[in-house]
Amino acid sequence: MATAVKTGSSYGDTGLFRDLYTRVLRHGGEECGVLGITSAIDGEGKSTVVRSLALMLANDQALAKASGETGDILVLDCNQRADEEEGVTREFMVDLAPGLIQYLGMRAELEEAVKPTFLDHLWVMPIGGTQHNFSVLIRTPRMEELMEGLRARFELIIMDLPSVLATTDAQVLGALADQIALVVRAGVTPRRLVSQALDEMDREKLVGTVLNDVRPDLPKWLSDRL
Amino acid sequence: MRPYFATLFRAKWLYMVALVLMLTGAVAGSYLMAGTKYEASARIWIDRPVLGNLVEGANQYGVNPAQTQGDILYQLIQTDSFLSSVIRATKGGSALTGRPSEDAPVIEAVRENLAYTVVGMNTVVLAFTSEDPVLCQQMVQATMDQYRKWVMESRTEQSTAQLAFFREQVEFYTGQMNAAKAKFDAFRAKNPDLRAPGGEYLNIELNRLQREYEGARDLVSTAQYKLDQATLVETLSTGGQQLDFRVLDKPTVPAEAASPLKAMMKLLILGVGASFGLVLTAVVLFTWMDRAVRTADDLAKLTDAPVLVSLPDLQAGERKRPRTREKRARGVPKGADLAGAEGR
Repeated sequence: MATAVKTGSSYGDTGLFRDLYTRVLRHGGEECGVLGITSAIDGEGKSTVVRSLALMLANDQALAKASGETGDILVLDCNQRADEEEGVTREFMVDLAPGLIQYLGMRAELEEAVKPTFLDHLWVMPIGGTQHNFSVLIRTPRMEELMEGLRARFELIIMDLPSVLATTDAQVLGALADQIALVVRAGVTPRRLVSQALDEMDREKLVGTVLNDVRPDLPKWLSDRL
Repeated sequence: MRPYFATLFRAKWLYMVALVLMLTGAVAGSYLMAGTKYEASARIWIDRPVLGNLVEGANQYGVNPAQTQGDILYQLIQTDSFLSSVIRATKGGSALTGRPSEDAPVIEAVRENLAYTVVGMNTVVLAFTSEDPVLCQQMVQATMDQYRKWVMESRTEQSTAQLAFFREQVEFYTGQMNAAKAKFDAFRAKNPDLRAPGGEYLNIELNRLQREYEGARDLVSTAQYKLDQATLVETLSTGGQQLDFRVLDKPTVPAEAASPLKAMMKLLILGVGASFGLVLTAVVLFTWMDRAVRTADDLAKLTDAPVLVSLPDLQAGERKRPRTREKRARGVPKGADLAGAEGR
């Protein structure tokens, strides 16, 4: 069923994401309970990376096999956006609300906000829509408590964080993660903005970068000669 | 080099379309601009004059008569008045209005198409290029005629000046001779007996006066000789007999176009070069202006953090896969819609 999830915006080739996770563990240490995925600006493909990584891990059940634990994975959508169709929850076929916003606003319980998907070990906590005081909500103690609770319950939490340069929420939410990976879209993101984003991030937590949408710049016959 | 090639291949179709459009424009432009050109020419033999310039000596034309005449012709062609005279003698004369500002472009156009070549020591080839074959012949003929007229007028003026000069010389030396003769005669009249005591001193003075007289007489003789020569030169110039150039090959109306492809090829090569140059400039410019992160190396330069993975452009890969191959891969029978197989 996992293979049927392949769409025009997800990667069907899971090998790449297996490599990604392996390197995250290698560079960041085995104790990566919360992995944040962010980017410098919007539209660089971080939600796609989050989705595909989660699907791969859940499909593989690698976590469960390796650790002997439940191997449950949670995708935590922390990225407010105008277009709900672009969220991580689109492909998981779950309701957008209630989600994180409703939970932090005490309008929903955790069991309502965290939703199972069609894969056994994959759960999703959607953002729940847009809220004008989202920046305030994530700075409350309830957010920290939520993370502690989720850590105890899930083997791995993958956070879809907002863009670093779009809002300071990325720094606040990134502080709740163990490791952060920065997604950069090839051919789109200027170097200046990537440098700016790197300056604003916590470099201690930066486990590495993901270069997205890479196209071969030259045909093979020419590339071999140059 | 790699970044420049990468820029080129990134938008290769755009550059190719631009290049094809520019090359098409270059070909069309070359064809339209080159036009059909005709050329008429005349060969002129330049000889040393029978009687040289008496003031400057016989070697007026130096070692290379054709080169000297060619230089004179060149200077004349640079003169608006000379070319105006040439143009008025042809069918193009109606284009001249007499107003310098309006005539200048017409004269300049003729100057650009009028050319001379020095061949060897005695031959000058005069040529004119135009889209009108009759005008070509008329221009060359008119140039030769005007040049011949100028030469004759110049010679006449020169010989007139020379005549005046030599006449003055004769008069001057004649005056000197008469004065010396008068002194000699006066001394003889005053000292009839040279054998008187102190006569040897008188003899010396007498000899001196005699030599002075004879010297002045020689000068008169020389000046008179030159005057006679200058008179002869003037006579010949006026009579048109002293012409030191002859037309070997008269200009005729050309029947065939002269090297039509040559001009077109030159423009075409220029156009092709400019097209490739513009595309190359655009590639270099866009490469310098490119500030995006494109490769893992670019990203590695910005941070010490490792590049965990490079994810390919999935959309581009799907676009390149042919629809039929896609159907076959998914087991869709022929004639069925691919969307149907996806359950949409």
